[in-house]
Order: sequence, then structure tokens, then C-alpha cells
Amino acid sequence: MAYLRQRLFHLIPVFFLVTFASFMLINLLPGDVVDAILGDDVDAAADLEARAEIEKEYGLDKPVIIRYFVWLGDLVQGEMGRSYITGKKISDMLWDRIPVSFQLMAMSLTLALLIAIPLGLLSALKANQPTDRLISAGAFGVLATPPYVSAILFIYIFAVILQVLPAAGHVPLFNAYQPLSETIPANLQRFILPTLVIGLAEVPIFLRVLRVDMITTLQEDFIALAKAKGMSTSYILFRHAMRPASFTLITVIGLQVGRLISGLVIIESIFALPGMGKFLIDSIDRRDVLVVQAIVTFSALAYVFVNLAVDVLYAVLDPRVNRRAQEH
Amino acid sequence: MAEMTTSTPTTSPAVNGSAVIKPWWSQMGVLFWLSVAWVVFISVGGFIAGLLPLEDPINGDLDKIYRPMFSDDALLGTDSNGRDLLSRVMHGAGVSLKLAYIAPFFSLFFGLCLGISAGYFRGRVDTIISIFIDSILAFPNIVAIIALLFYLGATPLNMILVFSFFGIPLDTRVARANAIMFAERDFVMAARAQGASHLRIMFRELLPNVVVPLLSLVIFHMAIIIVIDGVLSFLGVGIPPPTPTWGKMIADGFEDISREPQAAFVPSAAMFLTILSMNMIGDRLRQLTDVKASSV
Repeated sequence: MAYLRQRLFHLIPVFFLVTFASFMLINLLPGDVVDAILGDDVDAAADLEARAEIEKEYGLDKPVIIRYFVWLGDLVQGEMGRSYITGKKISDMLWDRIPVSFQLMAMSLTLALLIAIPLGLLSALKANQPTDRLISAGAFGVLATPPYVSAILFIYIFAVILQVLPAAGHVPLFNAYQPLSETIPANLQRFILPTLVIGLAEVPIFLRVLRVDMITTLQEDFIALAKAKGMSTSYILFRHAMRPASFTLITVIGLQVGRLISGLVIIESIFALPGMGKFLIDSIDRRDVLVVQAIVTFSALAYVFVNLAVDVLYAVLDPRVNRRAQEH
Repeated sequence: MAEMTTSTPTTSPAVNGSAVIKPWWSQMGVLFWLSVAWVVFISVGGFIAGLLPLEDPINGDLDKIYRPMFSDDALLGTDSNGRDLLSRVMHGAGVSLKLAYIAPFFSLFFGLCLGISAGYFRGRVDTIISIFIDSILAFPNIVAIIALLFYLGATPLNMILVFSFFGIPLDTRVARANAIMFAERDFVMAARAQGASHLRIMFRELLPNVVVPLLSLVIFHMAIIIVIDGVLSFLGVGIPPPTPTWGKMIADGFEDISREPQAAFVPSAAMFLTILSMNMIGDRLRQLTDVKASSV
């Protein structure tokens, strides 16, 4: 597994650099770290005992590098400290919000692929013909629409004019008062518009990768052979061409995680979905510096680990990767 | 990210040697020049908005709130505070575009330095630079930009610095890919045989070749910055009011969307057209400068 070993050697320094940068964020604040952590809590800021407690808890008398490793040790154990604004454990607050964000990401990604794969195949088959041009032009337009603009447009069309979907809000899947049969439709209904917005924004990216990949693959000898054997176009597309083309797609999906998380921040705020992105904005409003730091750390680590998973998947699915890595 | 149509060689009429070679401005097509016209219009309008005979963008006239589009006293209508939307769109353009025109050049500078070094020296330098770049990429850009500006304070200078910083990875990657390609060419070999120093080779031989394909990236970055700047003002973590920004205008309009949709859609349209035009310009420039799309 030469390829995986290479990737791991690369990811370990990335992991340390990413966590160290997140750790240092809080030191960017002007003034004293203790003041920053206490936020607007004036009483506590004046209370010497409270200050001493924070200094002890965060080991602020120790050098930065030791503090970093203590913080990292806690982080690895899932311990992110307590918010001084709400008094709750940050890890608990995060875990409450992750399922919402995860559901939104999974649904958007599925929608994006459901649209992008057929359109990408069609584009590649009809490369440079009117169909392909039309699809490209549409993708160009979608790419120029910022997510908050499309969100507002969809809300205006579906919630204000047609009044068929709720403009915002969230219904948790599990609560004590309603059975699942009621919560599932209500929950999904409120996810339709946010999913549409994030999913559509991803389509042009997948579409482009798939189109270029497919055009290249369709020119390969084994496709010509398959054609010569008289196989149908759809059989060739899905059985022969899709497999090599899907590897690039998997990598791109991994790289899109960052963009998806970025999209969550805006979309969850607009649609009032209590996920991680909304949590970030709420915490900034409350000036909850430790929570902001925790969200940044978590989202960067999510990116690192998703891409590690993609690398593993890639190496397992595509034996050529390992051979290439060994040659280097 | 922003580039869309990778045209296969058969589609680009610009390159393939037809018998009559058209002048470059005629090869670009009508859409390209419409895009340029829009970008010039909105930029010049934005930068000299203070000198134009426009209404006050900050203090509205409460006697004329919620005017629809094409009213006699407000071409694009007014918002809930009676502020003229045309005036606010123009003033807002100046604010966003200033950031968009400065930040990508900082990214370009650092991207070129890092990318050419990585592509020319390879080996350990390449590894260290790619670790640095991958670490930046690990932070979802909007999350990181919002958090950084929260800790640093959302001043225009900090915004430019933060936007530039998150533009570095893409510039570096493209510069690296091109530097690798050109470093194997004969003219670099010749320079080396003549005893040119590394610095001279990178500066005199590689830089002029590598910088050309990066210019289209600069324009894509401008479009991305307009989107991100809009996100920040939309969420209320960007340049604070009362300075008019497109993002804040969209957010304000959104609150009144059922009553007066144009307050949100006028700035949205301005933003859409600007991003579309920049993507179009960048895409055409890329087709012109791209020798081999696959090597990037």
C-alpha cells in the first residue's frame, strides 16, 4: 500500500499544522486571552478568582507549545472545554448540531450527483453539439449565482408566491410528542429548499469533471473495442466508461467537503436550520470565542479525515494508483 | 473552481489555423465584450459613485419608501428606508470591487513565489509547500474567513489580507503545474548550461511563462471575492453598516421579500451580472492562454 503510506506521511504534518493554526486563532484577539474567553461577562472579568481559575484551566502560565499539546490531547479525546457564555460542554453542543448539517450535506450531495451524472454523460456523448452547449451555458449561469441569491429566489418562488413550502425552520426527527410518521415528512419538507440551493450549486463542478473525464475515456481503445463488439451505448457508458470516470468524481467529492461546509454557514442561517453553520454565526454574535475555535477546528479536521477516507477508497478501488505510487 | 467550459481543441476557433487570422479582439466574441462593458461600467460607476448625481445612499427619504422599479423619482425603486436602490447598488459596487481588485494580486504574488519554487526545485521544497497549501485548503474558506475576521476585526485591510491568504492555494497549484512543465523545456536547460543561477532561471525564464495562465485565475478570484464579501455582509460579519454593500442590501431586502422583492433582487442581479461577466472574461482568457488544459 505504497500510495496510502505516502498519503499518510503527508497528512500527519497537515494534521498538526491545521490543529496548531486553529489553536492559535484565539491568540489573534487583541488584549488578554482571559478577557477574550470571558467575553462580555464583566463581573467575571473583574473577579480575580475567576480569572485565576481560567488561567489554571487553560494553563496560560505555560509556554504556547505545551498548551497546544495539552489542548490537542483533550481534543483527540473529544474534550473541547466549556463555553463561558452558555456554560455547556462544547462537544455536547457540537454533537447536537452535527446531525442536521450532516443530513443537509448528504441530501445536497445526493441531489447534485443525481443531476450531474446524467447531464455529464449526455454532455460527453454530445460533446460540442447544441445539447452540450446548452448544458454548459446553464452550468455557467448556476456558477455565477451565489447561494444566498438562489436561496432568496427559491424562497420567493416557493414560499411567497406559490406558498407550497415553508420559508424556513426545522423539525427534529426525534421528539417526545410526535411519532416518526409525522416528523419525517415535516422534517424533509423543510429540507427541500436548502437541499436544492446547496445541491444545485455543486452541480456545475461535478458536471465539468465528469464531462472532461468521460470525453477522454470515450476515446480510449477499450471503448472502441466495446463498440466494435456491437454493445449498446448505454451498456458501454455505464459498464465501461463510468468506472474509470467515477474515480475522479470520488476525489472531487472529497475536495468539495470544504465548499459544502462553507455553504452550510449561509444556508443554515437563511433557513434557520440549527446545524453547525448556524451555530458558528450564533457563536460569533455571542462572542463565544472558544466555540468559534472549536467549530473551525472541527470543520478542518472533517475535511482532512474525509479526504483520508477518499484516499483509502481510491487505493482500494483503483489498483493503478498503487502501481503509480511505487514507480515514483 | 470557477472555470466551466473546457473546450476541446475543435471548439476554440481562436487557435486552429484557419486561413484568415482574425484580430484578437474579434476572436473573443460578442459575449466577451458585453462582459467587459458591464465590468467597466459597474467598476467605474462604483468608484466614482460619490461624484455622480445619485441620491444619498445612507440617509433615505422616508416619504418615498417601497417605490417599485421604474418610478419617476427612483429608477430601480427604493427600500424600506426610502433609500434609492440605484444609488446604493453603485456605492456598494465601489466597496466590494475595491476588495476584489486588490486581494487577487497579493494571492498571485505569493502563489507565484511558492508555486515556481515548488515546481522548479521539486523534492523537499515541493513537499513542504504542498503541506502548507493542503493545510490552508483544509479550512472551509467561508468558515475560516468568518472566524479570522471575527478574531482580527472586519476592517477593509484585514479583509484584503484574509481574502488574499485563502487565494494562495489555487494560484500556487496552477503556478506549480506550469513551472514543472516549463522547467523541462530546452530554454531552461540552455539557461542552466550557461551557468544561470536558480533565482535567475526562476525569475527570467519561468516567471514570464507561468504568469500568463495565472492571469485568468486572477479574474476568477475577483468573482469569488465578490461572492465571499457578499456572504460576510449578508451574515452581518463584514464591513459594518451604514456603508452600503451588496450583501447587506440583499439581506435587508430579504426581510421584506413578500412586500417588496426588488430590494433583494436588484443587488442580486448586479452581483449575478458581475460574477457572470468576470467568469466569462476569465474563461475566454484561459482559452487564449491555455496551451494544454490537461496539464493544469
